[in-house]
Amino acid sequence: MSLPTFETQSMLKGLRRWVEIESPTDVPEAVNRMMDAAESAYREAGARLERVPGRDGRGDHLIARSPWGEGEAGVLILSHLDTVHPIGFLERLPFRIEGDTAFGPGICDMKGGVYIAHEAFARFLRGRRSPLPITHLIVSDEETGSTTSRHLIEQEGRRAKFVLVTEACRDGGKVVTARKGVGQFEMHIRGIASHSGSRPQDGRSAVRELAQQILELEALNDVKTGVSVTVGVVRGGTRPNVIPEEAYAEIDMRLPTLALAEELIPKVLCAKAHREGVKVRVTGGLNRPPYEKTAKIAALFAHARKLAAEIGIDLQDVSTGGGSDGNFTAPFVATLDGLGVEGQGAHTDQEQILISSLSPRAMLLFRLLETLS
Amino acid sequence: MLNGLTDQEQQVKNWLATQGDAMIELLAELVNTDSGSYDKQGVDAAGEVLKRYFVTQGLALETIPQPQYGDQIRATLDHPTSNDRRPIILMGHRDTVFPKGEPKRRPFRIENGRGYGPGVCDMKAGLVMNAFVLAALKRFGGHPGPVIALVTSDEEIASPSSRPVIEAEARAARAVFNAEPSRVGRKITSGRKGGVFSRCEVTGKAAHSGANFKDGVSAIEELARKIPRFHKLTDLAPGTTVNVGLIGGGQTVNTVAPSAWCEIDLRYVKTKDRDQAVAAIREIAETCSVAGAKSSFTIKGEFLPLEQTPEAKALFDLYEAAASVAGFSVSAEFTGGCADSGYTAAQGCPTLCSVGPVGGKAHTPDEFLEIDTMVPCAQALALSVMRLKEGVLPPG
Repeated sequence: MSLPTFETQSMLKGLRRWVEIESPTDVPEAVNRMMDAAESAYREAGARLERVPGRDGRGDHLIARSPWGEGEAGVLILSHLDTVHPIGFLERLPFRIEGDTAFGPGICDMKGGVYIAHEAFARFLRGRRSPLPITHLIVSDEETGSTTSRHLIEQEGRRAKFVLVTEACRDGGKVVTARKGVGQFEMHIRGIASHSGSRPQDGRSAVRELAQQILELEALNDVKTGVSVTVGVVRGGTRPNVIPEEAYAEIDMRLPTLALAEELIPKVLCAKAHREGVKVRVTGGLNRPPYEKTAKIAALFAHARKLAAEIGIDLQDVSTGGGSDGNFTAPFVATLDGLGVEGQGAHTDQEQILISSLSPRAMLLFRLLETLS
Repeated sequence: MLNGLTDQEQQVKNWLATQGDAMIELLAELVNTDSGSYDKQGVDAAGEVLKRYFVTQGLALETIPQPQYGDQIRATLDHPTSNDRRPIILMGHRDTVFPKGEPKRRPFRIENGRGYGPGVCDMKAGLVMNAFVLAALKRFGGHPGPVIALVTSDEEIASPSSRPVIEAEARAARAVFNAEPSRVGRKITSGRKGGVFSRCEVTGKAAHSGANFKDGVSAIEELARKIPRFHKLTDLAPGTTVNVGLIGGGQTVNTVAPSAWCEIDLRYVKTKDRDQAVAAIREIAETCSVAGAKSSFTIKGEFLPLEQTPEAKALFDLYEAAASVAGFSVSAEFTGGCADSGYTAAQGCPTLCSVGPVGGKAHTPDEFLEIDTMVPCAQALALSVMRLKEGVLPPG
């Protein structure tokens, strides 16, 4: 059988429809409208469908399966259809085309990737048969940490032989073979309040303690190992003339390996106060495990690189600090990420894709599905 | 003369003794009129309550309008024949620290001899006392010169609009009595610290904490480096303290913080210590050690210290004697808390602070007033004013 064609204009038209269905993570009914569109596209193509009802203020998850190979370990395509942009953002960033660039909320992160994956999978549903069964899991809450989908991702990941994640590719078309793990923490400090004018000696400043804690956290940054720590948010105190009783921080930690995670996370969780009368409490932990480039992942990348060369792409790989749902599967199954479209400006009002990447990237996904066995 | 009091003194004292219920009535209305410092409408409404009282007492009123904060109000009792034309000022502020709606949540009430409600002792009771003292003197005379009740609008935020009015009054005045509450145990204030309230803003550069961590500049890290350095300026021996009372910063947990800020509260005892301490704070605030971070420093407000002078001591002695006539004894103590009295003292005007009715727990929901101290405090203040004749205070 000869290779199918992936016609750019028709894909762009379909992608436009998806982009114009706004789907912010925290508006489940909007995300569900988006899931309806994906579901009906897959229904038409003949997939077996499961809709997992949303909970905790999140939308439904959608699973499309090939009718063949039930019960066998197959290929899992991992996607999300929620976006970070709020409802109404489409007015600020309407779908538009400028030369080879198409703009729109979520177009790069990651509706473009989901769309081409669905196109590639549909080619099999419409008459071909891939060596392995295919499952496309589309979740509704990746942008807020996949709290309601993580178990589903891990469950489907354990059944799979390969996982292909359709996040956008990086830096001019690179796929992702490693991501740092993500730890997130909240630090609550309680000191003793007093009036800064009349009773300064009675107080124990929670803000002062927090400053020391932040400096110790910053000291964990290590360019050599790739560990990074960001204290993203701080708050503290009530009035300028009161010694602050409370202070608070939100901490984000990126950890390239599980070994580093196991070494450093307890340090953060066990932070101790420096002064008597002050209490430090830290909650949180590893939100996404590190995605390390294992031998299996390297082999999967080598295979993809060979396929890419056949269609004229010199495929490179990269490791990144940003987490994705690929972090959940990479620890136990060969996972290749960044298989979506080329683009930039994710999460901003300049979010865009390269139109000319739609067709070759769809073809690369098709070829992976066609050859992985 | 009876008990060493002049007839007028006796009349004033007796009349005030009959005014307890009227004082409580006016106080209740004043407490229930919401007047947070930033609520001009509310602060002006509280001003109207007092103005109505002054008008019924036949006192001359002047309103000094303010565009942003509440208006300043002066009620004047003239004395056309006195040689010394310098007025005696009874000072007080009618703004409170509380958020809008607080009187609805906690209206004025009395329980076991204590009055409760926002601003009840800090310092609406003091304003009521001043108003009744002025009314008594209007009724019976005996004041040695003009007396002015000055009702200001913004003390709780360091008097941005009232300070020039207060300073101008102080320069022309014979003496100032400030009606901040006296403390439990009849303690008034012998001296106060000065305070400088400032803000430091730090700018960094936002970046995704995962993908672009190295492109970011953390304003929060810069702030965290500054905070311990600010605190190190505290030196308890001369009484200098620095408190970083409020901080904030950042955008989301996974964004390197593009901005952060803090508010700094400096207290000092001696005027001479001020400039050095402010310079040290400014130096830390404006100098960044995180590469790429920038920061700025602004002074938002300031109170001057109330330092002990021979004239202030003489004023205390006068008040102490008047208090004993009113049936109580007082002592004086130093406090680190700031007030408008620092401004008047800095103008060289003899100033006695905290002559208001006894209260405590100011700025908290537990703020209280000892109701039974309203009348004696008014009597002591009225007698002090009446006895502030020429030559009582040493030449300044």
